[in-house]
Amino acid sequence: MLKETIRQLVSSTEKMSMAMGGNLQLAGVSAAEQKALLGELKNKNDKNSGYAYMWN
Amino acid sequence: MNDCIPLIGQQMRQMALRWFTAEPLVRLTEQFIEYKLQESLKFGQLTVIHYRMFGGEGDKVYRAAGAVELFILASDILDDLQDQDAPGKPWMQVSGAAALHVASSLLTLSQQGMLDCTDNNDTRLALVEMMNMHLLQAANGQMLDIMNEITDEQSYLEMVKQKSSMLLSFACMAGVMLAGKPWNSVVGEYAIEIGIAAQLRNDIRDLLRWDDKSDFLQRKRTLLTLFLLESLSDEDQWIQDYFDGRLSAEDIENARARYEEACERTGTLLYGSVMSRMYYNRFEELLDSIQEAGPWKATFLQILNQEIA
Repeated sequence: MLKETIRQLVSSTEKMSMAMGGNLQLAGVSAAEQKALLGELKNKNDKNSGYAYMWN
Repeated sequence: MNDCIPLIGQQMRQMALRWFTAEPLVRLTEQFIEYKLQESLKFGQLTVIHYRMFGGEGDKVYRAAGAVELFILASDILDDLQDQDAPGKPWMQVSGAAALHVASSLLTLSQQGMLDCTDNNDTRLALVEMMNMHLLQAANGQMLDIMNEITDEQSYLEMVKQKSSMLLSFACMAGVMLAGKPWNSVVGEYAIEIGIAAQLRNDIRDLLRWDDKSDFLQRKRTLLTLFLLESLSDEDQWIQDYFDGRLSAEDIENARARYEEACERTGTLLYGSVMSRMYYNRFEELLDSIQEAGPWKATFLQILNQEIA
């Protein structure tokens, strides 16, 4: 389900914005996957330079 | 923790000089160790920090850390000989027979180093049994990686657990056991998480390369190339065609920008970074659950976040 969620996010700017703001319901995604996804989106938001390849 | 690197290096050199007498073997080994010492010796540092975390005192840990790094050096050489994608490394600039011989000699030297790091026979036996158990599992993982026959995500993660995580577990557990403690299941578990997280981070890097180490150009099956291939749209059919061998490297030599755009658009990069972070988060949770780690956590994380060679 994480895979499908990611595919949906990258194909919709609206959904991506909502997810980055923490305002998107992520049904079917486990708590651990959600934490990691939101962490990476925050990273992208903060750095504004593509997805980070390094841990914070 | 960086201050232990010269001490680990010194032990590596001493072990080689004690056991190797043939001039070319000594010379090449010294040359390869000097090259290795320019890197961070992350595995050896993990041995040292686990020894300290679990109450070990004194200098004998540097011998064990040196033995760990000699094994890592041997596996680096073997890996480069297998992949033939690192022409700049010193072991790729000597004959293949000589490089192979140094690597196999280092494997035995690392075992001897581990035997020599303590006088306690119970600890020695436990260390060497632990070492062989990990390294044999890593050998299984490396073989699966070489064959490149992985077809699904679960098999890939199992292969990474064997190939990458077992080496990290070996390095960490050597410190724990040399400190006189038994096998620690939490350490074993978090080493697996670190190994997968680090491998996925490397996979992101290698997904985007456009040279001999590119996973895409080498048609390498990883978590990310598998995700990419199952996420392609019609306009990306050429990526599948290349992966299946219907297009050659020459056919796609000018397609780098299109390829990078596809990696971004399909979510492959995001998927890789999320998966890597998930395993890393799990590692941190496990680390927080063991009391011994408290004062050492910041140093531990600093070692892990040194650039992976």
